[in-house]
Amino acid sequence: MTFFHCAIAVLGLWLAAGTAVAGDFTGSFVDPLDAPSTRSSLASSTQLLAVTRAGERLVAAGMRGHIVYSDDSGRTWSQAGVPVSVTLTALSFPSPEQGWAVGHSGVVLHSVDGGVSWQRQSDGRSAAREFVAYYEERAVAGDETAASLARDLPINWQEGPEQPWLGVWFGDEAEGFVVGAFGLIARTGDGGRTWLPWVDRVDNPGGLHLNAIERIGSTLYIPSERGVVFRMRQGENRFEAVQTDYTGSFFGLCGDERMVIAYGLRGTMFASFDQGDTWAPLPPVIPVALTSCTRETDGMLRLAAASGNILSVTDDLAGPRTEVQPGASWPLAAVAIDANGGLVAVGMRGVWRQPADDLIGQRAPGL
Amino acid sequence: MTPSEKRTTQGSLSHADDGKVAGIDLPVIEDVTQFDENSGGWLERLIFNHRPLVLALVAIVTAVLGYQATRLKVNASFEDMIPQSHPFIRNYFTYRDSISGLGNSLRIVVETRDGDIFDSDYLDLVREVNDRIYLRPGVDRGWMKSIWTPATRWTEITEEGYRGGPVMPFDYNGSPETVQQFQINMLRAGLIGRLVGSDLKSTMIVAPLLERIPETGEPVDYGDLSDFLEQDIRSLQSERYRIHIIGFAKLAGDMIDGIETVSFFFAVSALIAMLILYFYTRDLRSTLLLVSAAVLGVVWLLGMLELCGYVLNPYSILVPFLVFAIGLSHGAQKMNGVLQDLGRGTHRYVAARYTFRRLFVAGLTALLTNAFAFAVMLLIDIPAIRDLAITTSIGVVILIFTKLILIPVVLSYIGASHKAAMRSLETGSGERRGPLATIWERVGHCCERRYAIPLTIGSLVLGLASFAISHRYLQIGDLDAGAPELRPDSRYNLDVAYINDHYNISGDQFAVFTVTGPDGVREYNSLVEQDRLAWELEQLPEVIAVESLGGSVPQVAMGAYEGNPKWMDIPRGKQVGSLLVNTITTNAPDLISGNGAVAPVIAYLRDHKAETLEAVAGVVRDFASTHSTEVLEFLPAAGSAGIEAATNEVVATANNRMLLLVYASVIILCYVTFRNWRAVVVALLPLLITSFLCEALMVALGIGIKVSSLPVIALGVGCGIDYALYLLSVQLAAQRSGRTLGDAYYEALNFTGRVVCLIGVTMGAGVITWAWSPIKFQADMGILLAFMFVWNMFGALLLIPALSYFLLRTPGQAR
Repeated sequence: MTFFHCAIAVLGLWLAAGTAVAGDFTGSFVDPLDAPSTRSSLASSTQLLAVTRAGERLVAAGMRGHIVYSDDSGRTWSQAGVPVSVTLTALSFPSPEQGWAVGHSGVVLHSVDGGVSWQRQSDGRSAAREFVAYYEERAVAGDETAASLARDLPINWQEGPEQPWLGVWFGDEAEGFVVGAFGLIARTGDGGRTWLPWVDRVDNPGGLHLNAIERIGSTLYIPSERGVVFRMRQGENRFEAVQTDYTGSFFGLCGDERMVIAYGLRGTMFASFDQGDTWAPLPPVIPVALTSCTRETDGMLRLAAASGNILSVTDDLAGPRTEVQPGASWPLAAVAIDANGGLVAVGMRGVWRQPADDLIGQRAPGL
Repeated sequence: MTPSEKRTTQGSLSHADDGKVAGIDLPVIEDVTQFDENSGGWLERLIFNHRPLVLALVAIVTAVLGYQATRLKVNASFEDMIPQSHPFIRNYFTYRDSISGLGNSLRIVVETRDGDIFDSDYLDLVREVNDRIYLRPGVDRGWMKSIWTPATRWTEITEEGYRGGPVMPFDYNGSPETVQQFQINMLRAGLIGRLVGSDLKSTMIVAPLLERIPETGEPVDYGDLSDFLEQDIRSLQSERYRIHIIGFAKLAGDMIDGIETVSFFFAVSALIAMLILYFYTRDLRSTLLLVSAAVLGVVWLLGMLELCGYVLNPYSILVPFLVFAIGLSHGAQKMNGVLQDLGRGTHRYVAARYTFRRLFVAGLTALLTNAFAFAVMLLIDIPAIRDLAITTSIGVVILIFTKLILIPVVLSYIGASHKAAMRSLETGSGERRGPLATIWERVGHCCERRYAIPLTIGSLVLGLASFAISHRYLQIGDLDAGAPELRPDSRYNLDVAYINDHYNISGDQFAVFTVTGPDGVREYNSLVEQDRLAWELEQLPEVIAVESLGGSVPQVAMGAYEGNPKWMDIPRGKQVGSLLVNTITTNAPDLISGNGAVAPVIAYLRDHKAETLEAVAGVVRDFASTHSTEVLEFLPAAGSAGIEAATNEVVATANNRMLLLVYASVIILCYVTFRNWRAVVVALLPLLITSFLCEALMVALGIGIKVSSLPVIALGVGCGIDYALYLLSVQLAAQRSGRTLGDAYYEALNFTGRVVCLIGVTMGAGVITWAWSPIKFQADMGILLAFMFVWNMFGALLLIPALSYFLLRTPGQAR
């Protein structure tokens, strides 16, 4: 009986103490690298920064670790399970099933089910360790470039896994590159299981931001700051710097073997008709940043602008011609073509689309 | 024991049972010299043997308090209406000073109805308004914002970095070129929805207010400020240009104006009450006496308020009405007694003393009962309601002097007209004829089976239906858009509606403080958590937008990295983070405290309905309990919606607790008086039914339970129990002396029923004028209180006999 009373009293005290503590601090900070992205009905209508095709499917990624996918040309979207809640900046799907997403805090995510679920392959924590270790190892072998990189690289992770990846490109399910801030770049040959730093293989002593990576034809391009485009042609194993006349940043680059366009701030577009050897400015048609570009099957380039406008660049005998259409009422960050040939763009307030039916109607007079 | 003697012992509550009691205890004395001046209690001797002294004292007190009353100030305080010890409010009081712009700023919108804002005439007018506001003492000039303030800047990201300047070009001269430059700058600065209306037909001037005027140290007087806004700012509007002004200072100013309007209603109330009284007594002399005594009570009350340091606010302005009505109706009973004695031929001096002797204790009991019911409101943790409880109680205590002492003393000098005296005798014995008398006769039959059954069943059904309605539909909080203090169609609320429609802000802000160590809110963890809270709030459909430091950093980060959207995240680096925070706080200083230890997360809500506020408070509480750590706490709440959420929570619990206490106190009082549980039920049921009906009426009128409707049921029940006490005490006494229920009730009806009627109607008349008040909650209170007073009267007159048929039919049951 006495024991019983004691037990009750102890339980009571414990409960009282428990609630007192519960009222104050039970929380501890969970890093966005460790906090899975939360499900939200707003995921497809808030900040999305990348959109791409995975086979017939559309996949888009953005802030808070949001990845959404759509099988009906962007009408409806489902949210993918993502193990992190940092901002994701770029996507690449070399096949309908296999895809990679990269983003802030050095995160690299991998999906084998067409973007429905994602696993972490690498992040700023592991990169900080592995990249430095890689160069230290080579420095021991007497490589001087590696020695200086082993010294300089750690500055990128001084305050935690801070540097973002800004671009990702996979040629197939095995080979791919990720590029990012302050010249960081890494390559994988085994589908992302291991990543080797390629910082020493880019002609980038100033550590310029690598804003994206694209393959056009058989050449890989990395648009960068100060008008620089890095280029690696097939068979080469380094990226060489090509200087354009531009002084600002290129956010992206697209085109085909005939014409490549690099675009950036304040409507800037530079075109190259010789696979990146020489560049010439196109007249700007809109004074806002161009953030993304995609190529339609007929060769027309579609660019998204920070004003929400969509630009169309066609190249005919008279040279490149640019047209502007209203587009979204919010800043756009990325644009893609859906399986039916319609336009899908994403940005500050999520998805904007122009289904294929509308496009046909719109183009008819011009044909 | 004779019936009369029996009633005398019970008589402490039967205010009007005069004649017959008097006939035995108090002989008719026509010649004042034959009256023994040393008869009666010590108090009576003290008062009536020193009548000139009493009158002189009253005159002196009136002079002193009357002078004080003229100095009484009128103001509306924001803090008085909020529950002081709710955790949200404590957090608000602790941290509000660290955040400059949280709440008290004026927003002035200049609208053009012709063309758009890119017009030199329009811009000149805005400059004029801007300059006048700028020069007004009490405006926090440093943080003032408009298209004309140099701090309103545009920036553009170029290859070379940021480029920018003030939105209004330095060289603005009204030329089409400079106007166009302004247009370009305005677009670049992204002002649409913030300082420029979404239809480009208006711009806003945001003027944060200081608590005190720095030059003088005086607190800002909202009445003055509001006058300034009307006379110097709104006067600039014309057919072409409209000016909309919102902000607590303007709201308070409008409420102060409303208070002044209400003073006019007081005169109307007094006039109506006077007419009713005259109809009742048909004697101008006594009517004037009663009204002046009641007015005197109000003057004393106002004087006392000033002496006690109170100001007249929109709530306490109602107390004089109540005190006036209570004073008048109770005074009428005094008068009734004197008149009856006069009618029988007693000298006016003696009649006054008799009345005092008979009714002083009874009147005291009744007043103290009322005071007690009002005092229950002290338990509600809202200063406005506590002040209401205290000031009403002060008023009731004053009534003891003006009503119980002054009226008999004055009556002893002036008496009443013979006609009125004779008339009171006739009515007192029920010998009246006419249509009213026939109705009266009918009411007397309510205790018979044929009336009692339908009445009881009908009222029970009505009561249950009302209960069901109020239980299902009665809401907590304010249900209308705009400032709840004013009517939805008031100019202030029309201005609010205009601004809500054309700008991305809403007046309904729910703010949560993020609290850390100095400069802690700039750190990565803190910014991430702020953004997480913002994101969770954004999930609610009721939330239009959320503003926070953490939530703004990704945007600014994008700007800092040349507008590249891929940089939209919170940077981990301390230096970069701090730089971005500085960029934000230059334009939005109210997102961080001076020492960097406090930052609010502000949700702008669609409305301030109770469910909205509950949903938001729920999300905030859940978030705070899972994300607060020892170094980073989330403390709700500030902003009008946050404070209203706290108020709603307090009001919801207070409502039940107060009803419980009011009814408990009334039950105890009834039992002490009647010593009979059946009688307690008979007295209580009509009140309960009226309470439920009142709640159903609130549903029908779209009034929620809020600070202003909270006191209504307490006041209604506190005053309503009087009726039951008057009627039942006489009825029970008669039954106990062996009369049948029918006779006993008829007697009660004739002795006290008329007084019940008089009280119901005068009290109702006293408060119904509020219904026309420009201040919405006063109007709500007026309607509800008038309903309570009048319906309680019907309930008492009809239901007490009907219920008595079931519960108090036999002498045994009445014992």
